[in-house]
Amino acid sequence: MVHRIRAVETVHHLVTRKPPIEGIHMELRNSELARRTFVRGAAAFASLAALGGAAACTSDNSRGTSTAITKGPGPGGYKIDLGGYQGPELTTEQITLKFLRQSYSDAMNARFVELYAQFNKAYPNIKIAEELIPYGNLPQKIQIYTQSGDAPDIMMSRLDFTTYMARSGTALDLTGYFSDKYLSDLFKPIRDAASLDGKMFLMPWEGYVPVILYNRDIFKKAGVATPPQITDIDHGWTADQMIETMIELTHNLRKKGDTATWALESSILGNGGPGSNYTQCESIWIRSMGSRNAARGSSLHNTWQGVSDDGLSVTGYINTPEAIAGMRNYQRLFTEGLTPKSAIPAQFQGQQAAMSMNSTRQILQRDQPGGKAPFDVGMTLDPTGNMLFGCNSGDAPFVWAKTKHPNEAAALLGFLCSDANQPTYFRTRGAFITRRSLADNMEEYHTPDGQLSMKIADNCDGAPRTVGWSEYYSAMNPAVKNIALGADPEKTLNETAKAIDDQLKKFKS
Amino acid sequence: MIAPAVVGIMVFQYYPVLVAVVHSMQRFDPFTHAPIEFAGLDNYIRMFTGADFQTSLWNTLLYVVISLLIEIPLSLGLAVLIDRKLPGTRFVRIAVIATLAASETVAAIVWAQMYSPDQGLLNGILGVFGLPPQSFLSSSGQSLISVVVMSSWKNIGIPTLIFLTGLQAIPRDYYEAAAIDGAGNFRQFTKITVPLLRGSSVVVLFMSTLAATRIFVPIVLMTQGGPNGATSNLVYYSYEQAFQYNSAGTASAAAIFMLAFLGVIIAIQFKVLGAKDE
Repeated sequence: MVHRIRAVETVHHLVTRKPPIEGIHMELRNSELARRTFVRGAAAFASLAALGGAAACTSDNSRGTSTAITKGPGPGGYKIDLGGYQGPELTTEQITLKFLRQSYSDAMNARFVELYAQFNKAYPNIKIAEELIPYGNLPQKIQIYTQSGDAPDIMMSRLDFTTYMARSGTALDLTGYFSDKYLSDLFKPIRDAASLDGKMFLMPWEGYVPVILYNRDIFKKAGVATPPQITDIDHGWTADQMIETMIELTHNLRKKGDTATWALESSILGNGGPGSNYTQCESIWIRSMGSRNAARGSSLHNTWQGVSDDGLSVTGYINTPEAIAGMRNYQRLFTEGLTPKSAIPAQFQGQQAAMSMNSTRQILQRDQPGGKAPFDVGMTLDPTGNMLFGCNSGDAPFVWAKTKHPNEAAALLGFLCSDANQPTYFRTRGAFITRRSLADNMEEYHTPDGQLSMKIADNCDGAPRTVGWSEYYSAMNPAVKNIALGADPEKTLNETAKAIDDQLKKFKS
Repeated sequence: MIAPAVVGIMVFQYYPVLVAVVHSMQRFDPFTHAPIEFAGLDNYIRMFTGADFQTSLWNTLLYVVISLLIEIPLSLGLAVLIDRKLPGTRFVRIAVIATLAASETVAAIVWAQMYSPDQGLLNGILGVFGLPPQSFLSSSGQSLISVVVMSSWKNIGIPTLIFLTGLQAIPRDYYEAAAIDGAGNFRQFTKITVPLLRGSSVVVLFMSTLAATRIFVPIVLMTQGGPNGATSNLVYYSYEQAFQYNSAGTASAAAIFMLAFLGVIIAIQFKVLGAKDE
């Protein structure tokens, strides 16, 4: 998943408080696509009052719905290949499955329509109605829908919200719906990120494998050696080495009269620019300074973990000496003029920046059959502190726990993620595939960069496990931005830790 | 006859306020977001003791003061200019009214690009004159003023039209008589125009105060309340609490406080202006 800059659409939608009439509602009926606007009322908070007592906040175990699944014929035994789905045969009643997701490119959206047509051909009684909205609106839309008591059967979320989705009882436990073979085929860190207490609540949809992409032409022009070409994750460069390389690159480019090219592009993740997307981007600078192998409770381990074991405290986790050192490294990118202080879109693609902290997406698209890159692009690891850290949090749909059609919703996800459907989806989209057996059969994963990507995927971690990830994330992004713009890292992280702890208190009672 | 209007106002104006008052004194389930118990004044205490709120409150006052200092003289000047029917006033009139037609969202995005420290138009112009680039939106000292400038540009149309209407209602005879008595332009302006625009000024003052208190879109799009909370105001604080921190009680408390805050400001303005009328 690459979080493109969608702040404009997102905020415009929030600000204007438009009802979801702009979301495209597609209804597939007997293979004939009809579009119509989709209007829903605002959240009916009152209807939740009855839930209040029973669903009162708790910090105990998962509240996610877990029901015994009646096993069906299993993979290969249904009217159509439903991937790893092993639940009961699907209903013969006329039903409509609603799917809330972000709008992708036209090509991607068309791919979904094709797949729905195939599904609908096998199960003509099951209609699929999609609601497409801007990516950034998904969390709020999910919240409103679930509060209203009338949510779509399937909704797109992200792996960093797994704990919340499970603990709030929003997501259905999908574990029993899928065969062990299918589940064990998922890259373990990605499956772990989608699970809580061993139960899988979100369907791993696409992985995020963070790397540094670089433009060899710009390095050549600057007369600077390219970043290390490596084949394993133990020999990447340190933050100091990366920064020194960027300083030399910038110095040489300016000396040659090039005042427009930056060493590192402005982040294109999330809202873009500094403090763009702590989950996938800026957390690298902090959590890589820790170590998952250090003794539990040590400062090193806490820095990597990012939150207390119960997920309700961050003081001593995001403001450790190691975390502060990590943010000082990050701050140097800006104080030394190595990357812009504001959001500028697509600098790397426009060859206005030598490097990009992004995902393997461009590499995978380059290496797929018929693929190519617009310029000579290379790939290396993100800077290593005490460990190589990368957060694998990507998009992941879930089945609403209160859906009337859990079997059919799970089956649809199985169908979309089947062996036949996933490779074409990922080649169109370019994201990292979530299952090892599929990666083994795709030639782009056999290149040195593809192999390295798989090793990184195996090394990745999820976002800090907290039910209050929304609060955590919302506080860290501006804090990181303030540091980028000159705020003292130690003071900022201390204040932010206090602020997040204050927000997480509501989950304790 | 007025029953539909009264019902509409009750349902869409007063009922939401009532709900907000109730919510501001409740604690919410962080998962379902449903109110679960009476919290008394806890949300208010939490809000008042928070540094973020205090910063937002102070910033709100700054927004109001700076906006009024910019918008009232500027809109009055523009109105006088347009009223004179000098060469170019037709263009000014269209330009001023055009700001009303522009989407606030689009305007904020365009201004954010103009303010960009790396590729912005304004820094480009400064560079032409050999001046160093400015961090308009990322400096604590400049960001709030930068937001106000953008917001004032967007909002200047209506005050200008109000002043223009007021100007056109002043009989020309007054100016002719003053001129015969030897009063110059400045004296005519201070002794005739300004006093007779009192009604228009009160309307502009109230409207600009309300608009400045409620600045939101530019903050979200241009600064997200930063850097270090330097541009956050009460509206943004309330939005953050509700939609980013899922704290509906605190958000409601902030909304209610803002309502009271606005009421006090307007009452003070009314009192001061009313006293002068007596």
